[in-house]
Amino acid sequence: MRSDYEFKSNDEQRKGVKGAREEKSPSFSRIVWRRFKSDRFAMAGFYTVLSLFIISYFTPIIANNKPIIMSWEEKLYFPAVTDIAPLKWFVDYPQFKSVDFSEIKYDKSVALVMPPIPYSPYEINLSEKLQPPSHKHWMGTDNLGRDVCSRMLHGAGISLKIGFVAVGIALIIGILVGALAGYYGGVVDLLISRLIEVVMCFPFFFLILSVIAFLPPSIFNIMIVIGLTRWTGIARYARGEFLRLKNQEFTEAARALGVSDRIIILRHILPNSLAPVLVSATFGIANAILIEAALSFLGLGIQPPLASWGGILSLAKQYIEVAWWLATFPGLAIFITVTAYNILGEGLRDASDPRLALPERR
Amino acid sequence: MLIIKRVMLAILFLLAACGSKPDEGGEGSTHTGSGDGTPRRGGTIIRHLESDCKTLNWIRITTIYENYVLRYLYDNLLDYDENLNIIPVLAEEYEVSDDHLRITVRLKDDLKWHDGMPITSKDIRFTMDKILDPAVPALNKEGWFTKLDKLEVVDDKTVVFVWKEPYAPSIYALTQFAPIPEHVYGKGDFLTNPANRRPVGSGAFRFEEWRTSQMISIVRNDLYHGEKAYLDRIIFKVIEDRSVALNALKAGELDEMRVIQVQWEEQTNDQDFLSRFNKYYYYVPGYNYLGWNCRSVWFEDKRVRRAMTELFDRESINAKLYSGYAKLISGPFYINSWAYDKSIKPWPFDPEDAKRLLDEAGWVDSDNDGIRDKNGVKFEFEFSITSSIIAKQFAEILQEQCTKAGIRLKIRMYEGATLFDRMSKGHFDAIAVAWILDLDPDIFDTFHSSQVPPVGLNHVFYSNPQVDSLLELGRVEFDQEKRAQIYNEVHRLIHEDQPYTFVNAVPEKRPIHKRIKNVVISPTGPFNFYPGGIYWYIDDTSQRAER
Repeated sequence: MRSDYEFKSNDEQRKGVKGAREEKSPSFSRIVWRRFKSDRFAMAGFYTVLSLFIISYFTPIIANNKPIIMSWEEKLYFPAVTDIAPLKWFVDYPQFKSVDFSEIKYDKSVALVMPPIPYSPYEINLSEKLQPPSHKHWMGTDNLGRDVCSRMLHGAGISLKIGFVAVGIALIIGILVGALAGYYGGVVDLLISRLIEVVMCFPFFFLILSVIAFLPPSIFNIMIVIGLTRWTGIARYARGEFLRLKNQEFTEAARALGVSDRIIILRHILPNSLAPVLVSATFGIANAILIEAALSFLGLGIQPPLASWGGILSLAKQYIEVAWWLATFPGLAIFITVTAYNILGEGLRDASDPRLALPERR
Repeated sequence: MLIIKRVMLAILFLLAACGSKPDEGGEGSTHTGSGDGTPRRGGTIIRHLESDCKTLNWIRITTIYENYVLRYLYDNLLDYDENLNIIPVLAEEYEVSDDHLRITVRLKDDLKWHDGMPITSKDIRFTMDKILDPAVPALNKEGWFTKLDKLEVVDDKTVVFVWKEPYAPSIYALTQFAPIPEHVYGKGDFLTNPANRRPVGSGAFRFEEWRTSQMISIVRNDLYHGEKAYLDRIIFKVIEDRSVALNALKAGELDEMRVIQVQWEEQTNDQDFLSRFNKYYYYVPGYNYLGWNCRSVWFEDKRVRRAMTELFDRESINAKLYSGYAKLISGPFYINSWAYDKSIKPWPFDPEDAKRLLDEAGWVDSDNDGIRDKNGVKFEFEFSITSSIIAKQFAEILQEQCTKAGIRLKIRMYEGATLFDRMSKGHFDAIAVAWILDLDPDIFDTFHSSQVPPVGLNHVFYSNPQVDSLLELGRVEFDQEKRAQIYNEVHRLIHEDQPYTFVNAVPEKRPIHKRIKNVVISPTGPFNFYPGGIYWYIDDTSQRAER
């Protein structure tokens, strides 16, 4: 309710300046979405990210050495499909525990339908090491004969997961810290702002490196460490927004009505301050993916045999002159993903900026 | 970084792989064409240094890179020749007493340091004092002389090494002993002596210049006691990245380097390369192994350790990753040594038998979760490696088989020094590393039960009373044939117990430019014997502009 008031006032201002375009006042998120949709570049980024998500979600039926449909003792099973979340948490085939799928997949009477890439990312085949891309291995094989394409797809999920969880952590910390600083101001603001500056001054990559040196390197620790070090930008944006909004009429009205600080922060100001914070979070995701790749490149990230783009790249370093495919595909994937996120973030920023008028952006 | 240490030298990065061209180089000693006959004097060659030296103090060296350089600057009292026989170098002659407790060494006449001062027995005494000085870290040297009782100086040229007890490797210790000059190192603080960066030695070459992280150059020593070297100068160029180094080699900026498998197989077989370089490979004493912590709940049973060996497909690794040029081994000795019993065959790759052994040892999947367990403990262990590519390959190959056999293997990568530290404290479940061996087969430090961490290098906590007594016997037996019997028995027992999975012995691979003549490859390679690379010469300097 109160937030509508704020958006309306924004809209009214715009109407006043640019002339009336809106008959009914739509919600802020709709305006943003409409502006965003009209930005083709941003939409390309959006669709890229979306398709990455879809692909990584369905990876178990795209690249797997388990059949999609298999007949086993006169019954049909779907072992690849049950690798997909949330099925994999509930369905369990104990009878396949000791089954070697890398053998079964060549048996046409058992493996009825195989995924398009019939290799698991962990399936080692030394006789096919370092094969260039072919119809058999679309992106070639690595030094242990594992299918690079399969590893790339499984790595995509890890990269996205790291991006989201790390930035999720950063968002929670950043918004909390920024909100406190912006809302209360004074000494609290002073202390928190200095804290933010102190944290910002750390060469964060080295901070991550030294933390990783003490913790066992695992995907969770990497997420947590990236999250714990990358909240400062978000906190600054949140603080700025809170500073701006805390003296607006709707906040004052809420305060006059005797609403508690907690409710004002969480219900009244926070939803209004999210736009710029989310934009910075989008860039944060791109950044987290890059950091993970860099850590894995240095051998401190994802531990083998898990696949990650940075991990494949670090392998490529050893074989750069004999196996171009090892460097090209993960490099390209990182480039595309990071670019897509950045474009998406930029589009979001433009779309949510009331000062940029709609017609100019095409 | 290769860290070397006493009788056994731990390499944390596993020995890399090799392949192709069996006709070039190989075992036994090889001489390459001596050009048109007589050696030419003059010229400069450029050797590759994979990492800069930390010090050029002979006593304090810790890496093989320092050894590369110091091999030319210092002569040992005794040394191996190209057939691995012991010969006197700085010594004119040596004599071992009947009770094997006294070794008398007489120096050659007119030996001179690079600065012209005479080399005397006082220098030998000074060097020994420094090696045994607890304040001087002499990682690579002090272990040789722990059994030394005292050093007697008879006259200017004669010293007697007196040992506390009969010690079979004592004579080998003298092949690791080169005196350093007292008049240089005796002044001021030993550890910060400027000569640590500007050594004065006794070898066929003397120090010229050291530009940190760039190059070290040495020039011919015209005061040398033996035949003078032919080359004017040897430059050691520091290039840490192997790809960059290979490009430098091809561009003529290096004359030799150690290459890795991919380079050997894929990047050095074109006509142009083969027309300019000879490719050598040779088996340095050492082997890759997987160590199983015998005190851990999983690996205390030798059947489990054998099962792990049978799960690790060493044949395919050798065939595919090393293109057939690594040698399968079954025991802890240098494959070219008399101590190694070739009749003991490595355990085969046999996952079915491994599963049987695991069942037999009581590791069965009782709760049907796909992982074996015993008394409520799951078979789930950490496999510690460095981030080197070969270690990762080993780990991932073993991991795949373990998963199939119902064992969960978690790979944990450590930075080299951290892993070394954990290894020497015995803080690991399983580990993939390598030993560099010495030519004497004494493996007391690594397999005797008294040498468990933190005392010695028996980091897997291996203990077998029979092996213990044999190892003690091997140290006091001086007859080589009898020692061979003792160590063959040790080999057999260790093979049965499998505290390690012995993986392979891997050749070192080194292309050397064809313009360099008189390259002698001993069983241990072109450098680690006397005279090593001292008498290399250049056949035709016009092949390349002098630098």
